[in-house]
Amino acid sequence: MENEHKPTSRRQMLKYTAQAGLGLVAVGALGLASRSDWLGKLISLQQKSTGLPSFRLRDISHQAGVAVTHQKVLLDHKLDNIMPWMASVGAAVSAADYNNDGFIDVFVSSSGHNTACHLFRNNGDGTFTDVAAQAGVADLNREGGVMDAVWGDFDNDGWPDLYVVKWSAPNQLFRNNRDGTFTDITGSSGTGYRGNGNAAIWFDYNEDGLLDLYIGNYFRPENDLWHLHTTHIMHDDFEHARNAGPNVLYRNNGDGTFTNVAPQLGVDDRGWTLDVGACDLFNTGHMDLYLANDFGQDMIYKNNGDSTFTNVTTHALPIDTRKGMNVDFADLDGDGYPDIYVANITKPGYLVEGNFLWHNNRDGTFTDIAPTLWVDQGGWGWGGKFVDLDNDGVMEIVALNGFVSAGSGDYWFQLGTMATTPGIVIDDSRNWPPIGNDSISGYEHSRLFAKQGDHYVDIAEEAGMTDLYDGRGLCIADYDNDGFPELFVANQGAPFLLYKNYPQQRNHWLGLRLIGTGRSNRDAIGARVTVTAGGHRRVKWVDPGSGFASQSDRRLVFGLGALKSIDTIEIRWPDGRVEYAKGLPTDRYHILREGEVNA
Amino acid sequence: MKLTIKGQVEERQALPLPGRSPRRTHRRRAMVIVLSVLVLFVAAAGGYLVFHPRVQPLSLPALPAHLGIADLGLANWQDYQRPFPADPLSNPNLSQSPRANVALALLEDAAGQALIRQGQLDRGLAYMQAAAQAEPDNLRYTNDYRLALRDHGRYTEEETFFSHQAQLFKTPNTVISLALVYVDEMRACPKPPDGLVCQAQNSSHSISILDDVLAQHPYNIIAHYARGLNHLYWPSLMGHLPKAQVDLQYAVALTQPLESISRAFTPQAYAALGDVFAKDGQIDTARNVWLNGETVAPGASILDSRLGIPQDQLVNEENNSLRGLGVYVDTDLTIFWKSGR
Repeated sequence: MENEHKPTSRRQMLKYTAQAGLGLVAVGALGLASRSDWLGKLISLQQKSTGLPSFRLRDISHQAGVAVTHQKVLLDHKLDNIMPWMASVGAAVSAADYNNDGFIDVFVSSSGHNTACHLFRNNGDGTFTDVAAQAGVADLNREGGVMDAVWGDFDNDGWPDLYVVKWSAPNQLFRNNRDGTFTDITGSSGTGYRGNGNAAIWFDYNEDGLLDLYIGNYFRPENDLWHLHTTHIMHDDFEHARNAGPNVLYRNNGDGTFTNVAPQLGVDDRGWTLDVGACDLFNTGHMDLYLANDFGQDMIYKNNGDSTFTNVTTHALPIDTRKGMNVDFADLDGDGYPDIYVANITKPGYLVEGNFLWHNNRDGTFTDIAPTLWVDQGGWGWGGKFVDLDNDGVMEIVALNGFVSAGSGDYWFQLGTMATTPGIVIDDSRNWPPIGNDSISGYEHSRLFAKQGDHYVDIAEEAGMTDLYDGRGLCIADYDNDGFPELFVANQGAPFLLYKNYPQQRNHWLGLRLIGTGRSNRDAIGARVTVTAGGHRRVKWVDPGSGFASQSDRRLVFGLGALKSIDTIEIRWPDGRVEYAKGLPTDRYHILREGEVNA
Repeated sequence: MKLTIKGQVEERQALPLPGRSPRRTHRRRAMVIVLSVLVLFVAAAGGYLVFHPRVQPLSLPALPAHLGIADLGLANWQDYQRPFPADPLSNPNLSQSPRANVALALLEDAAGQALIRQGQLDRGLAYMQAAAQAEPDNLRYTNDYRLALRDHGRYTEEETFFSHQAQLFKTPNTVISLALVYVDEMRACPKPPDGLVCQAQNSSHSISILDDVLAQHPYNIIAHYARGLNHLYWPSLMGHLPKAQVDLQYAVALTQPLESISRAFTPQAYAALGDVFAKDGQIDTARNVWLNGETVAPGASILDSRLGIPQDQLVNEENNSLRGLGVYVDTDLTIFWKSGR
């Protein structure tokens, strides 16, 4: 058979040429792709998907009747050039069942002159009523401005009392009259420290069964911010400032009066304290102090167990030049030693500090593991709390942020230039460039870090926490007693938010309200509870009001996941007594009274 | 006959193949070959254009025609290249106690370094200080002494000594040394991400000192490079990158007159200038700078490693590992006069 040689037709010729051309285009496209890396970007986008959280958060502030807007302070006009900075704190929120009806109520601050604070009484039906005026705790801004508030039963009568921290006016202590009203006993109690504080906690440092009061101060007390005699009021260094007002420790004398013992105990720290926390950091049974200090070193004061403290900072922590804003505690690994979350500030392109997650090394030292766990990038941090939102037994971390959300200009450049130019006297506010209507780390997204594998991912947006307000106080409280905590968010100069928790699956839980007796304070602040279930230990402490401008629900909720029962509960009361409980049914709250628990 | 196109084709197909002339067949073969070669050529050219790095000339500042080494601030370069005396500690000319003597300076510098290697830090530093005092304007001795102090964390002594020298002599070299002291002192700040303000303040100090030097000596290569690096390490949004670009463009331009005495600095200058653009996200421009560097300093590892970084990681690498606050700058000046690459 003859092997026919077919000639290449013009059409085939065109076809081959076209194929060659296509090949060239493909080669070129691949080359361009390798240069622009769009393929890599596409792949990384797909990898970013984190999966859905097992809960949803939705703001129900309007339906719940808590939709109020925080009003800022307006200080002496000598501070006009930096007024947005100065007026950037004060939005606070604190939870307690002040009327003992079994439902958590919340105090919400306002700070502007003559603006009213709010006491939202929980109606038990998902709504709240503002009863501040009739309770006598609304009109607190006639002199000075409210910055923080903390509930504590200082007289052990079973009714929470309220301490209010203010700028440039005496702080105020309100005794609960047990009838829905309060009496201002500031004068008789001697607790009216006239400073410029931002934080306070109730804790029994000397273990006499009476709650004492620690106050973290910011500007020096001699500076009345509404009537300034000098503009030299600011921090004198951005990394090592120690020229703030001294902190105060009011010892409860047991007779309705208090005495400031901070100087004699050496805890009158002069750092720019923005938040105070206390927990048993060294597992000694005593409550130690952690101070989140702005512009410099955070501090740890170890409670020696004999009514004295030792400053152990240099041993416990590395050098810290960051801007401490918030402190909260949780035992992340079930070893019985609390780990610590501290908010600092981060602004990519300017200053990347990163938040701390201090891992408790159980030897008196702490190591920052926030970068390893990816919980360091929190923006300009404020209130931050550990919380198990889905009761799976693993803590999430909620971190609020945002400093000044205003116009499109950015003050960071001026701020950075001032901070880094040697020779500028920064403690004089007149030397600060005017802020005008610029933003400073404004409009930031809150973070909700959820554990995924060996690290955390931010699921705030997916979970529904989408607001861009300047978050300050963060209160975790189960206002509807369903065992799944809600987030009460106090925003600076912006609407108050109540993020209700809608769990996607009903994990089991155990809720405990502790009542101390004998040598323990009645609120049982400092008590440690260890729940063992399914072979795992979960450890929590009754909190004194840690967290920037906030106080969470003091009841302890243990997430159990799929476990329907627990094995044991160990309670170490503030006075050292240890009791055990067994067989408590899950998915409900229990009241445990000291001395009556042992199974 | 009116034929449709289809009919034409059909007609053609219907026609019996003529006895094809070999000539026609060859012509077609030739056409196929020519077209194939053409396609291959186009493919090769396209591939070259797409894949082969194209090096565009850099935009650099114009320099005066007769710029000399002295204008660069390296008038004494030959002194800087003199070899150390062998076995300085056994040299009979070495006095028991250090003396600031020009004739002994080289020996004392060498002896000081030898003593430090033996663990006699204080004695070694004393000899090196004597050498630096003997010739305050000699960059070699001051550089060696400053680095010795830096490497042993003696930052306070470093600042005291060089502040005094700068105040006393006010020469460009003594002032430049003081500017470099502040860069060294950044190592004394808390470890990043703490201490960033501390580092930035030191950098500001250094920059302001170098501003004065360059106002008087606009072609001083060391001052340009040191100030350019100072600017380069700042967080991008603080707006220092354009200033870094200007200084480092000068540094690159000045490598040309410098090459007559040393080529060690050349790749460093190109790397730094490319880093300015990379840090700013101008990846192609950065790579072009580094490729330009490779043409004048082929095989330079600092340039190779830059070009090897995946492009989507460059900005991050620049900010965190290469040129960010917290990455310490090596202020060793020997790259300006070292022989060879």
